[in-house]
Amino acid sequence: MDTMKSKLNHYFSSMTLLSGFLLALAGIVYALSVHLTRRSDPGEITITYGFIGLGLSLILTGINLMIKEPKEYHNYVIGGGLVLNFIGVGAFTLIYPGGWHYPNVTYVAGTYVAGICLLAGNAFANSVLNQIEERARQLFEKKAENTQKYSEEEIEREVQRTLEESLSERDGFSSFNLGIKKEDYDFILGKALTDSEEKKIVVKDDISEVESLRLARSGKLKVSDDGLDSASMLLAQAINTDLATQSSNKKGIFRSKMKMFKRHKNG
Amino acid sequence: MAKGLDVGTMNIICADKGDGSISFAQQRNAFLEMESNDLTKHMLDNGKVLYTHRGNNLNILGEDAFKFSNVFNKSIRRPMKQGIISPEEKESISMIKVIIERVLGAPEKKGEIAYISVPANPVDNQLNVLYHSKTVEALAKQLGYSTYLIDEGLSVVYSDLSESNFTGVGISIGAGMTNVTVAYMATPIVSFSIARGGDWIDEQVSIATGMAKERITAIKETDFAIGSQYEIGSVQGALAVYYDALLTYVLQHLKRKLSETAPPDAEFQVAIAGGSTRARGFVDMFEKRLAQADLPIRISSVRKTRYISSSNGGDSRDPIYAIARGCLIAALTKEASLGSEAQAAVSQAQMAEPVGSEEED
Repeated sequence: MDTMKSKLNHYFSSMTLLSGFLLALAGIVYALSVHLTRRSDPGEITITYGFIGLGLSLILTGINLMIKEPKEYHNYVIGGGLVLNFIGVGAFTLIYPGGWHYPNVTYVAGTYVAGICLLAGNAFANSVLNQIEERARQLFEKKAENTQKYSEEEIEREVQRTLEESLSERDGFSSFNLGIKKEDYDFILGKALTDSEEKKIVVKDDISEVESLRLARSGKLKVSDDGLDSASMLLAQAINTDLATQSSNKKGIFRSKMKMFKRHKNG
Repeated sequence: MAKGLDVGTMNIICADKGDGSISFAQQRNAFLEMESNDLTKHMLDNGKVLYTHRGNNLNILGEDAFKFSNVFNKSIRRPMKQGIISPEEKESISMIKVIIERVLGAPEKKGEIAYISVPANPVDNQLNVLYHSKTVEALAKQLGYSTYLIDEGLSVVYSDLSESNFTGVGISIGAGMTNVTVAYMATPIVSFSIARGGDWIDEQVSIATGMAKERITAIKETDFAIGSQYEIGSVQGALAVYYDALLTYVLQHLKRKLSETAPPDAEFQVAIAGGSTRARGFVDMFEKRLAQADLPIRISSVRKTRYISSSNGGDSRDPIYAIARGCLIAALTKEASLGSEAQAAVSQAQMAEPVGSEEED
C-alpha cells in the first residue's frame, strides 16, 4: 500500500515538473516565434509571461514534491506558494496592460515573488536538512559496522570465563598477601580490653543455607527449572579444579549446554 | 569453627556458629580521644570501658566512644571513611586492629577459616579498595586465621537468598558505602559499590538544614520514618529527600551495570541489608523506585533481611547482621568443602594401600 502511494507521488511530482518545463518552454518558443519586444501586442506579452510564470511555479512545485521525507508543514508551504503564484499570474493577465502601473505592479510582482520564494526556500531548506541527516546516518552506520559482533558461542565462552574467574579461590582479588610485622602496640590496652570477654548476642539459627550453598556450588542443587539445573552443572564444572574429573565430565557439560541452548531457542 | 567478619564503616561484627545458634560480637568502629590521668583510668576500668592509652592520651573504643562523646560534647573519630580505611586518620589501622582482635578473638585452632566482607570497587569514585581489603585480611591473618575475602553484596545474597537458590540482587546500604551484587546461582554477575551511604545522607541533610551532623544521625535513628508527612524545612523532610536521592542513584547505576552485561533469563529476588535500611518505610520506597527504574532483569520481590535480633525484644528485624551472617555461611561452606576434600583424599589413600600390598605380594 505504501509502495503504491509512493509510486503515485513520484508520478505526480514528475508530471508536475514536466508540465512546468513544457509550459515554460512553450512560453519561450512563443516569444521567439512572435519576436517579442517591449512594443509587441499586449496579448502576446500576456501569453508569454503567463506561460513562463506558470511553468516556473510548476517546476518549483514538482521539485518540492520530489523531496523525500519532507518536514512538517511541507505541503502547506507548497500549497501556499502555488496559490500565491497563481494569484500573481492571474492578476497579471487580468490587469495587463490597462492597470499595469504603480502600485498594482508592486502588488502583483510581490505576490508572485513571495510564492516563488516560498517554493524555492522550502526546496532548499528540505534538501539541506536531508543532507545533514543523511550524513549523520552514514556516520552512525559506519560506527555500527565497526562494532564487533559476537556469536552465541563467543558470548557463551565469555560467560564461562567470567564464571571461572569469579569462582576462583582469589575471588577476583590480588593474590598478594600483605605481611604485617608482629610487633607490640605502642600504646597500653585498658583493663577491660585484656581482662573481659566481648559481649555476644546469641540468636537461634540453624544456618540451613550452608548446605544449600554447598550444593549450589557443587552443581547438585535440585530445582524445578531446567535452566537453573544446567547452569548449576556448568558452575560446578567451572569451579572444579580436578582436570581428570573435568575431562571425564566433558560429555556431560556438552549435553547440559545443548539442553540449555535448546531451551533458550524454544523460548 | 569458621567465622564471618563484617568490617563496616560504622560497625565491626563477627558471626560465630554455636549449637543451633549464631552469636554476634559487635563493636562500633569508632574511638574518642581524651586526656588521661589516674582517676579517669580507674573510673574507666571500673566501668569496664574499652580504651587504650599512650602517655597523657587515652582512646575510648567502640560503643562507649559514642556515649562519652555525648557527655563531653566531643567529636568521635572514625578509622574508616566511605567503606575503606580512612587515609585522614593516622591511628586508623591500630584502632581497627584492636577492635578486630576484640570481636574476632583468637582462633580455636590454627588456620581456622574466616571470611571477611570487603567492598567492591566503587563506580562513582576513584577509591580503590585493594589496600583496605589486604590490610583487613592481614590483620585477621595475624591472629592465626585462614582468611578469605567476599564482596559485601554477595554476603547479603548468601544470607538472605537461599530460597531463590542464591539468585538475586544483594544490596547492602551501610554508613560509608552501598554495595550491590547481582548473583546467579551463588555466582556474582555484577558487583559494584557506590561511595555513598548513611553518612552521605547525614552530611547532605546537615548542609541543607544547617544542623550538626551528629544531631541529624540521632534524629534519623530515632525519629524518622520514610513515607510519613513532615513539614517543609524539617530535618525529617530533608532526610526523606536524600534517602530518595540515594536509592535513585543506586538503581541508576545498577541499571547501567546490568545493561553492560547479559543477565540470564531468571527471576531475581532483591535482598536489602545494612544499617541505613533500618528506617521505617524503607522497603516501600525502595519497591516504588525499583518499579520506576525499569531494570533489564525480572524482579520477583524485595525483602529486607528476615534476621531477628533477640537484643531488641526478640521480634525486631535488624538488617545489620546480614553481612556477617553471609560471611559465616560462606566460611562454613568452605570449611565443609575442605573437610569433604580431605575425607576424599584419606579414603583414596586407603584404597591405594591394598593395591600396593598386592603388588608387593
